[in-house]
Amino acid sequence: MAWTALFTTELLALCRSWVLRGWLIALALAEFFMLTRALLAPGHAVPASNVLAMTLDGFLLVWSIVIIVLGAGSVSLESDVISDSILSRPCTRTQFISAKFASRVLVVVSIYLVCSLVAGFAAWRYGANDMTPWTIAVGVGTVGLAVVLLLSLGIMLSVIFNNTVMAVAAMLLLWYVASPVFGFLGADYLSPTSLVANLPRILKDPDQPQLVDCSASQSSLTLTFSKTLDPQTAEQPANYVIEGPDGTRYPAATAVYDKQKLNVVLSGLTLPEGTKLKVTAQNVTDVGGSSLSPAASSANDVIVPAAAVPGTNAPGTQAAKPAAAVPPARSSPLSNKEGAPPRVVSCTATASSVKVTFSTDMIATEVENVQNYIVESPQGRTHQARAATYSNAAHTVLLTGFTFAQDEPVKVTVKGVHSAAGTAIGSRGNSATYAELTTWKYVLGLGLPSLLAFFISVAWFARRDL
Amino acid sequence: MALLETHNLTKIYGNKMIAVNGINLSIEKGWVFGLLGPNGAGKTTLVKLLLGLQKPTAGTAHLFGKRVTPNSADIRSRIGYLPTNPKFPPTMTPITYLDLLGRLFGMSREERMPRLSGLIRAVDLLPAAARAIKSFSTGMTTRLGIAASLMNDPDLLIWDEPTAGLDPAGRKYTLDLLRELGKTKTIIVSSHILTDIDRVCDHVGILHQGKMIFGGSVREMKETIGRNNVDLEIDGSPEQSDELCRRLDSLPEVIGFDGIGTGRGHPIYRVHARTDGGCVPASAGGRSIGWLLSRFRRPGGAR
Repeated sequence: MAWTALFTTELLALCRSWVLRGWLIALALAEFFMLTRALLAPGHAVPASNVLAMTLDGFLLVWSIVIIVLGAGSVSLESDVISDSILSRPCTRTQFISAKFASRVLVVVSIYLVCSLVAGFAAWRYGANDMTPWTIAVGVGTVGLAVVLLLSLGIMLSVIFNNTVMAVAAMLLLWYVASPVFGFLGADYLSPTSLVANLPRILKDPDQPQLVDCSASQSSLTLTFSKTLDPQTAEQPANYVIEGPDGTRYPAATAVYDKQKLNVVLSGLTLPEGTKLKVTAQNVTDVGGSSLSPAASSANDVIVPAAAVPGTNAPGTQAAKPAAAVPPARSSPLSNKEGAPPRVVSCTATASSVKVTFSTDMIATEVENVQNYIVESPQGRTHQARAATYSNAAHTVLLTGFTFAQDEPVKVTVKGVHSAAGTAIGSRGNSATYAELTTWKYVLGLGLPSLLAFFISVAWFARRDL
Repeated sequence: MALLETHNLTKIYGNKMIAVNGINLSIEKGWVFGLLGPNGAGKTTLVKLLLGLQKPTAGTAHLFGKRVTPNSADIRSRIGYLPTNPKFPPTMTPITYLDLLGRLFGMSREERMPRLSGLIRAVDLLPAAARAIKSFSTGMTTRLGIAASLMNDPDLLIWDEPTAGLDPAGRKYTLDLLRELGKTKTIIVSSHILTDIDRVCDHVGILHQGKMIFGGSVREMKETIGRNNVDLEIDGSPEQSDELCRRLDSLPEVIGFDGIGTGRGHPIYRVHARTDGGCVPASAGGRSIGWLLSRFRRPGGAR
């Protein structure tokens, strides 16, 4: 009852404070101008991760001053009042400090989440989406934890110093000169500058784009990709190499990218009937700048069909088989044989091994063949497994013999394997990335100090004379 | 059992200043107890120790049979506290502040709304009930403090210098209210004004430099106070004066002494003794150190 009374009173007082009102006005204006400038600028669409990162950066670099003032002024600004008016009444000091914490965290985090939601929606609607729900959650959650840490440290200093100017000055010093301190502690990734630098990477979908399908006619080629591409790179005809079996190259005159269908149509070609082509996409990136996965950047054995007879389907016009790594979903003769294709459900990694879990029972000889796995850590750097052991009870394969760098995500792509029922693995569910380690480090690195700051505040305030 | 008991209650600030010095106090239910002492005697510190707002350096305080700590919310729920020159949240109004107090005391809306309305009317703050406290005069703030201290209908009232900064009418109103409340409640009221204490209290404790130099009924105080204090006017060198101070300090019957000024160019010391102050000059052995007792008198009395 006492805590609720303190909490609601504090909440109302915060909502009526001019600091908060001023901040909301400044925040709304800044968001509006930033989003309109970033998203409505002429030219190609801005990656959504960059737009959201800009909003989140604001809370770490600019609005952090307001958050520091809100935290550092919480107790010290009222030090002459709280003794007479509140703490001489039936409430404990723990209730008082925890109500301060809760109300400030609620208000600041709510404002932060609303801003993130608005920026995220605008970025998704008007920008080039290069994020996934998980990366958005990790990015917004990480900065949210940093905001909570900022507030907690501010309240702690407010309790310790009992002087608002001192508390604000100490907090500003701590926050803006934090990098060397974090570096010294071996936790550079937690410093504000490091967080700002890493945000686009955190927000961006870590999966590289893949060439999943390729079909040919005598005058054009249609390449289908797994995700949205950067049109500037996708519409460069020079980025596609089309080779015949004898090494003859067929340059395309134009490349037209269809964002909706995720495909590129190369036209202006004169391709000989029945020729087996190898098509390679190079320097093509997704909207976030990730280049094509090395394992899935080319399609082999693309057969140029005979000219179609009007009213009939031309035989052999099915998509050519893309790179061996990624069997094409639409063209694979096996893909619809026995219901839904198996997929990689998850993967977890240690410094030396990777465990891959499949959705169903698999053919053991295939999944125990280490050549059927492409393991990347970090992105683009491949590692070869020495051994693979399958457990059919859990549908898991344990790949061993790696030496991964610490804290880097591990991505596994599986090819050429079939379920026990004979269904080939799908092209969209054949990979998984393990990056949880970094996320947990952020959660612990930012969350634990927040809790620590809270307990220090409570302990310090309990022994203070009023 | 006494409603309030302290045992060797001591407060030293930062190993520098002794604010409260080994106070043993016992207050029974129904007393109107006056804490009397000059400014800086330790009255407010003692009150804050009793409320758990400050932690004692040594000793203990028990209220309602429970030891007082900073988290003694249950003890404070039975106390009505009026601080000296109270400060309240400046943006709140009397209604919102008293409503908050009612919620802190665990009162339901049906209980607290009639209660706060009645108190605001009683302390004559009705026209200012919706005004921000920051616009209040000292008298209005004190009246709000009085209302706040009565919000929970407490068993014990602790009013610290309730007449400080009030005009004569406000002072009379406050003292009359204290006398009225004293009929039904236990009250501790601190003041440096003897007449205020005399008007409302039946028991009194005199604080001087953090020590309780007297505790008893008001009648006993009146009898003792004149007899125990003596003023010594010294005709001697500064070194001799310093020597006198050292000797007075070492005398067990002397509670304390202050330089209260000069008379005819000679320093005058007021000595507070435990018993009759008349024996102090002889105990200090003045002649043996060469100082001359120029004048000896009881404060306000004859030589």
